[in-house]
Amino acid sequence: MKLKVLYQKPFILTFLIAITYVFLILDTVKYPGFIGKHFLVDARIYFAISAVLLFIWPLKSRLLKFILKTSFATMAGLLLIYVWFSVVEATHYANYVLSKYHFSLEGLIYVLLFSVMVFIVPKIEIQKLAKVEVKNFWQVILFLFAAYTVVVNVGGSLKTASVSDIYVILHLKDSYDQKMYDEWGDFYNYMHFVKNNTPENANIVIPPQIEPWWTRSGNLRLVRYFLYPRNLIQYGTEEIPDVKSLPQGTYIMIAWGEWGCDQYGCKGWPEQTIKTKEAIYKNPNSFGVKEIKENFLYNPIDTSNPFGLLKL
Amino acid sequence: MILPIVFILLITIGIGLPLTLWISPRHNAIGRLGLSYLLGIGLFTLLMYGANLLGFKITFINNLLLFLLFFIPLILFQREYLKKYWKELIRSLRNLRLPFVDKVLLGASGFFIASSFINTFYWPVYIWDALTLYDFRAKVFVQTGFIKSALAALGSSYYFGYPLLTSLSHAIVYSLGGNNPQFIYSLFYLSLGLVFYGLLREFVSRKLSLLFSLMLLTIPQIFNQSVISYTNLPYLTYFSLGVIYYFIWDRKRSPGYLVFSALLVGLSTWTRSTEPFWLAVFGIVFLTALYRRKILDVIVFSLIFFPVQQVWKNFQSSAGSVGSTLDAVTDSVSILSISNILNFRRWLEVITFLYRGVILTWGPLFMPFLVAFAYAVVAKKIKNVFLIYLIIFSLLVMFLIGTFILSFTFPAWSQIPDSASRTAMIFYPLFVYTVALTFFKEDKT
Repeated sequence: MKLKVLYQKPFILTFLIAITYVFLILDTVKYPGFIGKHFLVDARIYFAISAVLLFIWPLKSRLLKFILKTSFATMAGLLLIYVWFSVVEATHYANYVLSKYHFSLEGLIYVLLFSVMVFIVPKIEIQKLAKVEVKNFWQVILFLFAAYTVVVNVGGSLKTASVSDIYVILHLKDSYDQKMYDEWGDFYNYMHFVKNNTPENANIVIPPQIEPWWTRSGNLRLVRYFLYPRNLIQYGTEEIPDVKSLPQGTYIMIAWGEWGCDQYGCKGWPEQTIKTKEAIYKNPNSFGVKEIKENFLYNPIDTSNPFGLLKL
Repeated sequence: MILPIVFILLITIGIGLPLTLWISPRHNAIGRLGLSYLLGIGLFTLLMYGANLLGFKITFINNLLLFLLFFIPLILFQREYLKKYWKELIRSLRNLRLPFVDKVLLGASGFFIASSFINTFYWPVYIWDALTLYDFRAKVFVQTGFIKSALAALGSSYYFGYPLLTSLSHAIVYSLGGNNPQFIYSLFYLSLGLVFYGLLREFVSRKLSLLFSLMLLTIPQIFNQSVISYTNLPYLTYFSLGVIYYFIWDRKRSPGYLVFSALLVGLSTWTRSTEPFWLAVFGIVFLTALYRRKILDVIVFSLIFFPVQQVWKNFQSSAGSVGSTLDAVTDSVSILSISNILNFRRWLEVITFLYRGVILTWGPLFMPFLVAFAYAVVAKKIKNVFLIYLIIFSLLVMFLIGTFILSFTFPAWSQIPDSASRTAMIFYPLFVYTVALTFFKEDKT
């Protein structure tokens, strides 16, 4: 069928736009990629085809004109819905909307983007664009790929950007400590605790770089960032070889493992009994001190205080 | 935080901008702004490094003196060009009448750039590699004042693993009392967009330049890298733009573009030195110079590129951290024994790994690139864009062989697809640029 003949059948474009809306909404309420999985062609490809055809199609049916006329209202409504649920997501946790409302925020972006496209494209000088930029069939194909790439990229980045922007706006007053806690959780509080309770010239023995400690408290380079310029001492064995040989005033971190705990179970460190001048235990809910015990015999069997510091 | 931002902008406008005007008086005005940041921050960190080796501590006063030392002569030398540049830029911005679609494309790019800044101004440095290396080194440099002794005192070759561009950029911020250097990466993101747009405008319309720039800036991996303190975004910016400058130099002989290319590719090695992609570029510069009988090209390129590239190599060698480039090449070649080369199973594993870890992450962008190449061949339009395809395919082959070699030297090679994917980010700007040029190039040469 020649392209000219296709031009005479505007219902094709109308149908395509309608079906694209349906497919994108299905992707949203099921999961992104649902249409691609069950109908072979990704819903975003329909989006790209619609975009390219809207650019170059000279005729419009009554239904299409109606869709275009109501596109602003559709776009505004979808934008409000999207922003609302982005706020909901930003105030809770990643994928909160999916788990609570059972639809994909990422999928909703594409419905919104599609409505934006339907709203914007008719405002472009179609004839001029088609004449100047679209010179041949190959360029139409390329436009199709370009449109698909832009759709996929914008959709992917827009979710990250919008949710994180909204998060920032809602948490403008957060301190450095709160932000680092958001990223690193209790480990940040623990590092803050150690920093607060040791002098800058302290010698600190940290857990070995073996599981279950190696990813956090037993990772020398990571711990060093938080505790510099303190001197860190690390042994290759789970047990500290000769505690008695360590100079007076040396600190030993008390840490709980975090790697593979679900699979292998977890344990604390140090794993030996140690006679100390002072044991400082961390408050489990902050980087503050829970209690200080003087002339204390540390016993690894007691796991009631999983994070703290021993001072020899 | 105001002071570090002002100082970084001063480096851009006071050193980068006059330098670009000096090297190339004719350049797209918008792209020049982005280039000014890239050259400004890159060369200033090199100067900081040099001054530090001469005994000047990393402090605010020393940084300021260093800035003035280069700012004053550059401003005196280029003041007429600068006045003219600002006048023209302001006039063209005032007279700018954008059609609706251009406004939408510009607005969309602006949204993502603004979003990047919102995130980097808000979030402190928190990402793993930045904490353990890039940002940590910056803090140590500022606390101790010296680079070499500070790294030596840390007592691990790990801290010599990556060049210093990003660490010294962070150090600028910390030395001025700032506490969050992450906005530097948003500036890289912005600069990538500006320069890329400027370089597209050399061949295609404004509308399409905006469209393809948006396509580049919205690639999720690039946007995500713009809000964290990794070296990948600065590296891809320097390297890929350096390649494009060379391509334009070869097509149009635009004055200064060869120098920009050599500087940018050189600065890419001042950002990351583990990837030897520069070898492919240098090889092509060399072969093109021979083919076109313009030996001066390769001489100019070498005179600019190698001094920059050797800075970090020399530093590593002096610290006993690593051998020379020649040693590295020799080691790599020695792995390519006949038995290893004929290990088809390993080749298959490597190709599968790259397909899953890299090509799939390139997503839909790789397809237009292949379509563009097919079109260029079928429509016999390859001649005009041959060089950039040659560079890209050389880099792809190098990437494949590099991964193959890595599979023999690094036992956990197949467990780091993320790392491979980040390394392959350099191809994004090259793919987008090539696609735009293949289909829409309005040859003005």
